[in-house]
Amino acid sequence: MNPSPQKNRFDTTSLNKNNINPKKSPPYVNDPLKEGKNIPSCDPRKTVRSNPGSVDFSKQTQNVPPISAPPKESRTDIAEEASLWLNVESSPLDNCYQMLESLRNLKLHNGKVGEPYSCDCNLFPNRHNLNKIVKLDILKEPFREYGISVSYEDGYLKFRGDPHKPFSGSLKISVEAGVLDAETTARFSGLQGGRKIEIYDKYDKIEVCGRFEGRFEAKDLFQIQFYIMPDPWTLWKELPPPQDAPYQKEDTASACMTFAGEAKSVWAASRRGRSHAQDAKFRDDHFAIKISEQSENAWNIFAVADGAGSARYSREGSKIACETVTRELSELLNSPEYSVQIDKEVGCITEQTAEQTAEQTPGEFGEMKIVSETMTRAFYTALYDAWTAIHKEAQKVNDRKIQDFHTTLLCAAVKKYPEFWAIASYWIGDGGLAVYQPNNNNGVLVLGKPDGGDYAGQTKFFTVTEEIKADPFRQRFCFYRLSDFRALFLMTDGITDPFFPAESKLPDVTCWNKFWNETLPKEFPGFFESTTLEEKESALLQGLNFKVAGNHDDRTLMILANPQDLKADKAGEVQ
Amino acid sequence: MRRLPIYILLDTSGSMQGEPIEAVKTGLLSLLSSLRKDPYALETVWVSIITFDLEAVVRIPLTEVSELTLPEIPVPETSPTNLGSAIELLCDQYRKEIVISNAQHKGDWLPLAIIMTDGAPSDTQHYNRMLEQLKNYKFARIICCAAGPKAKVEPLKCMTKDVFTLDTMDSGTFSKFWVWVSTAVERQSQLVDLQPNELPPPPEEIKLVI
Repeated sequence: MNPSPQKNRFDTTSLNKNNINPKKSPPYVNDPLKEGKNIPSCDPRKTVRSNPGSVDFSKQTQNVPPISAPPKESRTDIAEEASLWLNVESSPLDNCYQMLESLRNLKLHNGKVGEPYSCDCNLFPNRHNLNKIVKLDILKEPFREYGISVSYEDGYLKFRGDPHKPFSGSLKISVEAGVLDAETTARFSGLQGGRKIEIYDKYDKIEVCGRFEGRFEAKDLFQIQFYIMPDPWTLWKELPPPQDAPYQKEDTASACMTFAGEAKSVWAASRRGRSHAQDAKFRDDHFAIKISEQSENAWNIFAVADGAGSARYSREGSKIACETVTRELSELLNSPEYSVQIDKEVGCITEQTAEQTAEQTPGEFGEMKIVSETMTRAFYTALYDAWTAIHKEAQKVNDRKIQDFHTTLLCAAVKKYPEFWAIASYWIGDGGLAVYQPNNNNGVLVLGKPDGGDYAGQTKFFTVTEEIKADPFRQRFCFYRLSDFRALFLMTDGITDPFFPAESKLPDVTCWNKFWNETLPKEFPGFFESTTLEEKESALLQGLNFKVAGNHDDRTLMILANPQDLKADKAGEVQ
Repeated sequence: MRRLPIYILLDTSGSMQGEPIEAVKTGLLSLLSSLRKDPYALETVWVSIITFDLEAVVRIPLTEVSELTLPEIPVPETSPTNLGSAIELLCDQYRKEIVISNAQHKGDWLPLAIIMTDGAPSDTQHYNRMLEQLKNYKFARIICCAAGPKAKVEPLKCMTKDVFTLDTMDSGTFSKFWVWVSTAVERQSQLVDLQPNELPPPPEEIKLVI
């Protein structure tokens, strides 16, 4: 580690120290350079300081006369404090010290693998007379190994490159700070009048252009802390969950089906998130689909659920919730008692006269709310059954409790009537349940509100007793009638967090248009373009590998649409 | 993106001078190094370092792990341990830096605070007042480490249940503490639900004060 920046590492004993107050005395009074005195020169390669604290002039090459002690009148203000340098009109030597001090305090900001690196270090904060000094050799090699090149330009040390591997630690910078005279320059490079020195190429050092005059100063060695961060995506492991754990679940699942007499199809895909893969945990998300086999004019049920992250058996909670709700709702809604009554209640609106109740005036997109006690009762029954089933499972084994099974739940019942579609839904927790382009208007009908809290991570769960009471249930239940729609989405927060990052984004049609026209084609290539149902299903599952920083949750996405409507719109166009 | 903020409060009073503070610095380096290898932490963890002796000073404001380099941590020769000022500054920084969720923007995860001290708060009245104020700021966890023989746990127990003692102030013990902290932080960055998580079991040298 470098010693305290306040102390000057150059030992002042062998060089004369004159206590000239820089503010008071005129500069260059005794400056041998100005007065053209004969300054001894030396081979800069050989004059190496063997220990900090003394300047060793003993090692010389044959060609170079040995350096002798500097003349006593020489102005060698070796400042104890950096602030003194600011007041000194710069001489080449001061520039040299300034540069060394800058190097001592060099701070390189961190780099990242795969991202271009660029850092400029100002070696001369005071910027005086740069052309008077500067012979700076820095060993490029340590940096080059990591893909960083070092160069000097106009007072700045520039680090540039594309680091290709991570690094953590310190790199040594070897510095030979020098002030040479024109004669030396000429001697070693065969050039006249102090132009570029090229003698250092074979030592693989960079050199700095400038006019070289004066006396050579010694070499120094610095350690610079330097970090190149690895690409975070490379740090993710994929570990299978324990085979002996209860409630086994596959890491991925997908499905596709046509329904309502091929009027629409459904694609669903669910994938274990990177965070669970990293910890050898199960996927906690789930989905279920129950298409009626009876007829094309029947109720079809769709559900997605996300088990609570900290609940150890939430994967089973989400599974029981989805499977029970879809099965029960399908049975109830398609049974003669329920279906006939609901048909009446749904159709009621068309028989209304001009005196419609407030509830039955169309919404923003022309959607109509349906009031149907029968549908409400059916949903409540199915939900209650699912809730009971999970509680039963929790009681089966002694050390398990309901908190271990907490899950969100988003479910919808969809039926095609001759003139319109009816969609009933229930939604508790985060994620999203929404209709894109309802009645083919450029908008989005969100079927509820996501449950978030003041802090990230808070949400509500279906399994909590409070939530299964009548009032909370009614607040989450919706029933609408639409002439048509482009797509119905059911998603867990693995999808809404990255693409609808705040509560206000879910009803935002601009956000949705971006999701439809940019995100779906980009992250799920092939979903729009492919022609068969299965190819689209496969594209959806593949796309769930998408990389969005900070989003590593399980992902479940279910889309109901007519395949012909699955295409991106051109800018400005609305289908 | 949702951040996991970590506030580290370090006692830099006179008694920490020498080996203890060097050990803490080494420990911090190893904490950072460990966080840099963890994909969750690299993306979500943001760290702020506050030192306190006579005054509480923010050495690094909340900064993401990939941008972080450790600052100089000076230790004055003699100084009191004004933990009250530190808590006050912590509350100020929380107000300034922590993002709360709203309809437009998903907020930060609940922050962690790690407080390391080797003595008792010198400014007891101020400290007690600040403890009241601290109740208005939600943390996922506040972990206190009372290091060395002179550390007093009772004042710390008023702040949090998670008070740990370190028997000695040597570098080995300190480094174990920071390794344990990094495990706790990494675990927190994975399981960011509201449910309070279990802390990982501490090594022998670190004892939970019951």
